Amino acid sequence: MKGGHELENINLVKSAIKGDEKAFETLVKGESEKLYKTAFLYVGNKEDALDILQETIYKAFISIQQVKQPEFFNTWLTKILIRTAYDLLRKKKKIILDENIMNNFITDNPQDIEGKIDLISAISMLNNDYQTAIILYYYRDLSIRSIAETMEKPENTVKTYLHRAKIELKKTLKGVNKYEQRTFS
Amino acid sequence: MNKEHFRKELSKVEFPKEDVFDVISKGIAQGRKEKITKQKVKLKRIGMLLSGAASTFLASGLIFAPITNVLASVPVIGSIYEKFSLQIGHELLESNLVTQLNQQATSNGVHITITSAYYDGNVIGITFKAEGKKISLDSIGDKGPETGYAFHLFDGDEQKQWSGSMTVLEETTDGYVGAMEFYSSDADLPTNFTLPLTFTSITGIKGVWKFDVPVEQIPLETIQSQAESILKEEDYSLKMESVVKGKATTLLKYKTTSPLVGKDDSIEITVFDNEGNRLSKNHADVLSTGSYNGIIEKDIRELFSSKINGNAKFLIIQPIINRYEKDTVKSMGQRTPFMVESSRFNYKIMVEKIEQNGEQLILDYSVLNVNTDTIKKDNLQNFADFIMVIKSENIHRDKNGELDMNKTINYTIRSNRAEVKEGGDLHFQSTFEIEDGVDYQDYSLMVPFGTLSLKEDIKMEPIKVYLK
Repeated sequence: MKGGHELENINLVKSAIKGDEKAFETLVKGESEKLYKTAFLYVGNKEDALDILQETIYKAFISIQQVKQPEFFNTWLTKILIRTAYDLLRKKKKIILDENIMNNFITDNPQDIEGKIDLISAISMLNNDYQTAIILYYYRDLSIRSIAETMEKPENTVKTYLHRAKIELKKTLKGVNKYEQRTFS
Repeated sequence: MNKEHFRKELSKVEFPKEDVFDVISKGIAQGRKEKITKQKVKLKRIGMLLSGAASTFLASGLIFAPITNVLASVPVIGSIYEKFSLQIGHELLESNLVTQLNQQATSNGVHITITSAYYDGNVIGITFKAEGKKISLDSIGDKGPETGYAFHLFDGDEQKQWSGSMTVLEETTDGYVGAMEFYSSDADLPTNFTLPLTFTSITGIKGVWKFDVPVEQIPLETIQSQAESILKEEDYSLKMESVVKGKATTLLKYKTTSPLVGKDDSIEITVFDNEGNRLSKNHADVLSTGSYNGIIEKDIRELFSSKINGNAKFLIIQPIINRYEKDTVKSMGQRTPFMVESSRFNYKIMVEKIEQNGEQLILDYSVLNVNTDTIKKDNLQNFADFIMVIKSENIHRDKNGELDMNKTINYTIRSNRAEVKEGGDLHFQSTFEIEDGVDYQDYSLMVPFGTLSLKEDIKMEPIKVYLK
């Protein structure tokens, strides 16, 4: 089943490369949930995730002819999304640092810590490379090799990213738990 | 943490489908706007992509090329090609065929240096670096193009620009660096050439940085051929003229013919060598177009961004015809049921029912004469999704009576999504929102039969071109 569907997708990709706008729209709509959630994982909020998505679609639309191998359309689209997410995060970096995100989470909503710093929020606090490695591995289900290709980094580097990202995530999540225990004890 | 846990967490994140579809439409509209302006003004520049993201993916397979001695001796250039995965530059650098340059120009406190250049086939590539206190990628904002720099070739006349690819500007310890690749669309390719290149802005800083970049073409080997593939009775043909072997590129010159009715058709080729290595497609230039006795003839030169393997004995060229037709327009001012038929193909839709409630217009129709073996469910859905309505007075035609899509497209109304109705996959219902108080009979239907024919491409007989 999966194979057949992918084959049809390849036909759509080919049409899209040739300039068939309709095929392009069908393709990205088909991928839209994955794309949106991937973007969400970087930024942790709806507005920014939608911004990233729109920018990604725009960039992909004007450069679709560059796709040389239709079977790599999704990888290509994901790469654009990642880069766009990085750009947005870079622009927002200063603001985030100033606001001190952790403090805000804790002081604004002391009763809602568990809901706030869940796994998803913790991921949006990781550095970009760690985020990408985690997202592609756990959510997009890519192999280490494919992640390496998408990130244009050696496989060993990707493994290191994954390893360190997991340690950081644990730390963040555990930190919250400790805080939680203190409040309730 | 495992994948399942992760997915479970993520499934808690709401998927705002309507908002998402809305930004997708906006992104496409934004891109379409840019494409249309570009097509109008920059006829020859359609392939020049300003998206940094895109140029990074020029070479999908070539990401971890080994660092050779040559690369090590010219770290800056090497890392630029490697960083941006520019396949042609990378390949040539490894064979020591990239010339190092050191041409500098200064304007507004910013120094730009052309650091290297090459010329293979019809491809000219350069790398450059920019230095200066004022340069900052953070300050681009809305001021400059997304790549971080702007430039033109020759005197800046839009008609003279070549297509190409460019990378984004990247910050390195050695300044801000970037690379560009241009594809000459001239029929004659001189062996010595001077490329007049002018930068006009760097990270939003305006200025004039003028260069005349001297390049010498890497010697080429040309193999003549007369192999051809003809589709009998249909006036389609592809006749090879030559294969030009570059060091990192290959140019194929050929002539195609198509019948007048297929003037929007394209013949695409896929090229393999006898060992199964595929040449990676780059882009094709139509050097000339003529029409004789109802047949359209085109002279084409197509660039491949890979070289032909030294051991290859012959190339196998597979031409495929993609037939296209512009949207068929039909007024809705008639009694149902009625047919909308493609004038070129057998495809039809039968409009069974039209219902109007104020501004809501509901259309019931069946798609007829499609071969569901070649045209799949997805394709049909895609076709139905793009059946549009338009107020008849807003339909623009050119002087030959053909639909002028650029002028018409702003008035078209899409349905949210065509729903498959009971009674088979070929029966659809689309709902449109039209102007309140206007009778649907003042509207027309636009039916994109061309999207169906593109799915039914025609394979021509493959051609062999012997290389030795």
